[in-house]
Amino acid sequence: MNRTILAANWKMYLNEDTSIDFIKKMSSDIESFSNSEVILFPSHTCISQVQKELKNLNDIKIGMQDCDIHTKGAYTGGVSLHGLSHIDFCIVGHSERRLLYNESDEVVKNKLETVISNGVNAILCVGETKEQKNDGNTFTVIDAQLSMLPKDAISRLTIAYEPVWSIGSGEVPSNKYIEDVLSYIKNKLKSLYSDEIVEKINLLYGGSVDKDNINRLLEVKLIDGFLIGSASADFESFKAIADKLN
Amino acid sequence: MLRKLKSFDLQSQRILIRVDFNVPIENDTVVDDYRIRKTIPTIKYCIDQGTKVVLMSHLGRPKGKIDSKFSLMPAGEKLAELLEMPVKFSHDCISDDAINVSQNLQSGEVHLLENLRFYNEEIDNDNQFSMNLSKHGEIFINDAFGTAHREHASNVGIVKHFTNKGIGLLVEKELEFLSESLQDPSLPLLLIIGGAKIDTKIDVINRFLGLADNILIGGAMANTFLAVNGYHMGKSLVESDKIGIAKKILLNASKTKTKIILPTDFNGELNNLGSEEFEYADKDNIKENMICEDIGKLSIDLFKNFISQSKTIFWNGTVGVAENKKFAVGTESIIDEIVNNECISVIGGGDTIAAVRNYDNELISAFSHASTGGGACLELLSGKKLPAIEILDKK
Repeated sequence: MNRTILAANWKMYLNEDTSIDFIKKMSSDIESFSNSEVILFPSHTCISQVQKELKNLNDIKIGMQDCDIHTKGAYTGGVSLHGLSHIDFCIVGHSERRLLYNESDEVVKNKLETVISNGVNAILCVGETKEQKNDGNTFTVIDAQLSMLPKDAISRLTIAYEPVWSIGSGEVPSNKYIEDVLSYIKNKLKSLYSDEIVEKINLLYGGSVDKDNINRLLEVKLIDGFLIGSASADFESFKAIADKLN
Repeated sequence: MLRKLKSFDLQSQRILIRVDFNVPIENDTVVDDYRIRKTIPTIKYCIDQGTKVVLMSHLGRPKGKIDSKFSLMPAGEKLAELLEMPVKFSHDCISDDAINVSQNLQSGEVHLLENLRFYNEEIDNDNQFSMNLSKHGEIFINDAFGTAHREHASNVGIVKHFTNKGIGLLVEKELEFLSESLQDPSLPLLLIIGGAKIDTKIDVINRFLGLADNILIGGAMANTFLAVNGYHMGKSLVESDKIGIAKKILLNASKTKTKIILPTDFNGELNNLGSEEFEYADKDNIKENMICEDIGKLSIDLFKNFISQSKTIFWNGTVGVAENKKFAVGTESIIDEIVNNECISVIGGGDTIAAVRNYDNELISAFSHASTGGGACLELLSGKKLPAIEILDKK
């Protein structure tokens, strides 16, 4: 059986000390994660330290929460995919980037191209806001968000469905709702890529995932894993989620 | 055990060295002495040790017939010039006269034999032929890396006639850089692959999946990989029968740490090669009548970023049609970036080395190693054994 992907988006919750502390705890409790494929997304400033601390844990992958469209040059404050030694993943188009930092579809599209052409696995986040949901525009929104996918996403792409209205709210959609959206995404992917490639694209669910709802969510067959926010930044609650998979 | 030249006591011994003097010749003159120069250290070392030196090589493909176009005489003249001393030459590699000359050599003298391939027996690995050749020396040294992947009389068949045998300084250096250096490379490790045909490079790419951190693919080969992803490559060369292979490589790569990086834009011409209707396009906007001939500026920046962060770099194959100065820009940018980066850099393949030398002849020495072998270099990088080296490794 495939292991369940646990993408831990630490957002801006942890500093260097608390990040290292997390890895230390994880190292001494690594068997809790034997059924999970863990990808950690530390703050940019902590990635190098986290990588050093992870030295013996080859299985744990590292990603960036965001990156600049450019990889080199005069871009004050930008963070390049090449600034760090070995990055496996990068999140693109997270709802917080879209809503709080006003990243347009155009920006998301360009970032996606940068990430993929640099050989890094992109986790593209899609999802509708409460307003869009209430207006019955969920599929239209997701369709538009997926239409920016480049052709060469082959085996370098993960799609994370995050209902924006659910993130941090504790409100989790029903399995039926998630299944409908993920089926829609899968069909859209099939219209863009060959079946063989679509099979390689993992689908994640994100939005108020915790230890109490993870087993219920896993009943959705199309889910390959989870993009976890605040619950992933605390070792005990992250471990509690992973333990549910064992 | 594989013996190295310097482990032999060479004083007054007669040494038979298989060299690679397969050099381009026009009007009885060597037009490129690169390969001859590369064997000078071995020959000089032997001379300095007071050894009697017999050299044998092939040149071109004369198909078993004597043909003055393929005579090694001009190579002998070039060798004499480089060594600054006379070189004896025999017009038949196994005649009694030739063997006599070898047997009567004085210490420090050099004797070059005529093209081995004037006899079909060379390529056929004929036993009698290799025995006749063996009469030229008491010690056999193979320093012809370029043919080490072939099983011929002068490099494989001949070995059983010697108890004292080994490799020359050039082969030793080739093995050090193309094989040993990959056992524990400084990371990140980068492979740059170019050229037209996937078939010739597929084993190398597969070997580096999981081993290299990054693989940059350029040249016409990249067109085929982009075609896998559904890009329209216009009139560019695409090996449509290799799409499946390319797809498999991309899918396999995704299971490893290795990132495969493809060009994102191109320079080329419209309608046909040499039309001089120059065109630039990114991969999404390649016109039906465009032929991609070099990587574009965005791809150059992309590739340079990967080069600058690498500690070990292997490069085989140009990323554009580098023999045309207009489409050598990508390849030249890669050369600049590698030589300005502090790293172990190994280049191989005739076209790659020619591109470096056409750009700036001095730069070739800025690489840690420039392999003299085409096929042999690729075989070693693929992790395969070379028959001519293997057989020297046996008891």
